[in-house]
Amino acid sequence: MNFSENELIGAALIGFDMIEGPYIKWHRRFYEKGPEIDMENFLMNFYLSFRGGDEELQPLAILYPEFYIVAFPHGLELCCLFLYPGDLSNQMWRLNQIATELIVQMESMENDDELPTQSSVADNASDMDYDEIKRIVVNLLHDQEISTPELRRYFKMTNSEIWRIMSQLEESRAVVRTEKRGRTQFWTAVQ
Amino acid sequence: MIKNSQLPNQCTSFYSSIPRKNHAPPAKISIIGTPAVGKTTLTKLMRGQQLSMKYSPTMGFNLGKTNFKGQNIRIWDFGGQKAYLRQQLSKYVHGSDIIFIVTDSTPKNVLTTRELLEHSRNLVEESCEIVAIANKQDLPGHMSPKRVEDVLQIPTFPMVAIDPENREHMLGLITTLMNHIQARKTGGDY
Repeated sequence: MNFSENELIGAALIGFDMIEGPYIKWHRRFYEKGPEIDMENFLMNFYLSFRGGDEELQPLAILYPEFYIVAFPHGLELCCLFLYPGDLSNQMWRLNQIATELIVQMESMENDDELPTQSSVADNASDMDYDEIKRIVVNLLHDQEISTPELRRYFKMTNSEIWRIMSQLEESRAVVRTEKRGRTQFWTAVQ
Repeated sequence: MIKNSQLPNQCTSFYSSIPRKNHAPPAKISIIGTPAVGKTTLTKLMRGQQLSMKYSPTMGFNLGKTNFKGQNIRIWDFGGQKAYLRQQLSKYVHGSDIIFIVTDSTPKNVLTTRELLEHSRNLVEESCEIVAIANKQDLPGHMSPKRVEDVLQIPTFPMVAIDPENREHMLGLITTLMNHIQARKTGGDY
């Protein structure tokens, strides 16, 4: 990663699964000293602090006595950077750059299916789960176009899993392909 | 205890300037259901807000209020994701006068809704009315309200939440249910 890890205590990427809700996609501490945080419990509430309530009025940073968190949304995902207390106003542009870099790296790992899939839906998915995913995908695509990688991110799925679901939906004429941008296929629901 | 007459004049005039509430406390309505069944659309319908056809998941919950024929209504619209139902629902559903459990009326979703219904029954007082809304009655393949009611075993009402004309119908239903609750509390006939 192209930043000095001393700039940050740690970083985390919170994903959002349409069935389960927020979950931790990835997190790492860069500096051993600093506050101990129980990420599993903390980040769920933290996600809501940033993304809950009014969509148009959301905070950029939350300041705790021992550390600050700055968060940058990317679709339904949230990239969080943990910092020592200090003046944030001059750092926002740089922090945004770091967050963007992290997101891009995660996306490229996901596209190559390199991301550990320990929490992938396939592990213990039943027909009921797949039906529920299909139902929500059709709702998501109502009146809008969404790409395959974006749909995959909404459901903690691998490329092959989302393609299987989209093919089945296409076969049952619930969705259609719209356009292709580069290698990325976009979809919409059949009205 | 300090009596009113013992309070300094400034203090009593301060308290007398606070407007007294002489209307009924607001009804607490909770809207629950699995993701993408139309809970937020139903909430917007009740509040007379512009309805959107695009699906955007509710993060945690949304709070809203409305008024119908003098009855103040506070609406708690809970996000349908499992994490929210686990964390938020058990914390905030207490004290609901009515729970609307929303289904999109597809056979599989009605079955999933039945599980959620069992869960929510354990979270609220017996005085809370739990009613099902069989939403998306305009879509092909939907189950009729009667069939949904047979599965869920609670009173079930048909709905097309994307149709603004159903607002009066929905608020009328709340009024009827609130009257029913009131009659039950006072032991009167309904």
